[in-house]
Amino acid sequence: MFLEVRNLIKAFGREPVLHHLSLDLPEHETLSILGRSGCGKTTLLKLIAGLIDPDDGDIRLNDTSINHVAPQHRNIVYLYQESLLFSHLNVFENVAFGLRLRKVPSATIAEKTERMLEHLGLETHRKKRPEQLSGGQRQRVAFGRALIINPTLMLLDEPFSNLDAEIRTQMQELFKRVAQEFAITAIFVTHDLKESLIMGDRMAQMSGGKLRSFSSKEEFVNDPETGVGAELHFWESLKEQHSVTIL
Amino acid sequence: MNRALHRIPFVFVALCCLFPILFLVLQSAAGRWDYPHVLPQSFNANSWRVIFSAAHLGQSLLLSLGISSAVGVCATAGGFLTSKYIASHRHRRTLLYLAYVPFVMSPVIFGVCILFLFIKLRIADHFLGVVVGQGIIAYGFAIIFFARFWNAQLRATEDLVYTLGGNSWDAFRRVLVPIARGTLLVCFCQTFLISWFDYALALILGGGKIPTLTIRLFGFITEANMQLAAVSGLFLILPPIALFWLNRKFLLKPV
Repeated sequence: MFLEVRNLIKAFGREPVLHHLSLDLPEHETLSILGRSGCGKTTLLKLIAGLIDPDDGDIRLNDTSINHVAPQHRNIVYLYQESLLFSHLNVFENVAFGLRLRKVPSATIAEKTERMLEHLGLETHRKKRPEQLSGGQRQRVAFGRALIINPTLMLLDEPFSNLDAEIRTQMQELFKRVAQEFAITAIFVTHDLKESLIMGDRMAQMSGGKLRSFSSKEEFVNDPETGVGAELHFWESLKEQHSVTIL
Repeated sequence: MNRALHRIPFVFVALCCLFPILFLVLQSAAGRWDYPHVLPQSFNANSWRVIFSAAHLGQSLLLSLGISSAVGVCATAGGFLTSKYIASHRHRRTLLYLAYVPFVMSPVIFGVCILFLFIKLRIADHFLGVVVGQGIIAYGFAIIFFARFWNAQLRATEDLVYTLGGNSWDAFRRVLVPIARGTLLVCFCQTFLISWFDYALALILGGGKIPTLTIRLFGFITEANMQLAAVSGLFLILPPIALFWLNRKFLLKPV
């Protein structure tokens, strides 16, 4: 298995956040984790990224424990709800940031960055500052900045939650396309049921610091606890009411 | 008409803010000014000549610039780093509360209290003693100044640099300092001014051997010559005005 998390435990002070959490993720797949606010989704991603230390448990990437590997050596990129673009750098320099950290030759940086900007449809914005971009464009730059360093694993913490519905749909489509083209392995956490179904190859649900994985999307859809049934019932009853009104 | 009426509050506020400076300029150039005249009856440059011919005035200016720059740089850098440490500390509130302690004491009491220690350390009556004394006050100010700067978004930005492959030095040099540039400059201006206008600490800890510009010009003010006092006052406020003018881009930034 590409990513294996075993019996992860984390508490902040006396408040337990994760209880013996385990998950598996094969290479080049996206695991969607559905969960409400405060269920421990962000803590799980931060533990995998190495930004906080677990109290107990093991995180293995390609059969190697990474518990004691510093975040800068894990090659795991964490994308936040907000794009967090560097306000002092333009679009080009934001995307090129990871390559500059790796001291890649300037000519290679220019070539790779231009290619990435074109790929994400940002070539006309290369000299713009972050504040001159729309929310969707900013998230695309954040994607480019993460993708350009060819990360082993991408962790996406509700990256589209601040976008309006139309842009959100565009970004979901963009991510699906990019994930396929770059053969990305990712964990995508969201509290949006529809988004979790669109984004994930595999499904899981998190509640009270515990994670429940589903063997297939069908199992996820048919499980009463995921809320898919309730959602379907809502739309069907609305449709029925609408039909009655028309009649 | 309506437009002109709208300008009245703006002109009023601007005049209120600029009045002390405008009045100092008027007073510094006043010649004969007898009661009950509201404005001077004649103008001359005598007071300016006296100030410029004063012994060691240039030397005092350089000394003050040196002390204030050292205090500004050290307090800003120290406050920036310390507040970062405090921001992620579990006793953040207590540590921030402690940063207010130097302000509880007036500079005179603070100066008298630490003078004995400075004598033992052999930094009393010395450039370093004045810098350290003023620096303690300015350092506390800088910590409080930066307290709100280290918010959750900035911490997330720092974490992002790590996941992109950077270490602490990369995060600091390539992201945190450039983002903080405007805030750092404003803090430098403020701490520079704390030192620049300080009279008590420079007098007590300098023991009269560190004749800063403030100390020398206060001498003129105590002579009760209003014209000379006005020139002295202008001389004192010119460097801070220059500093504010140079940093207007950051100081006028909307909050």
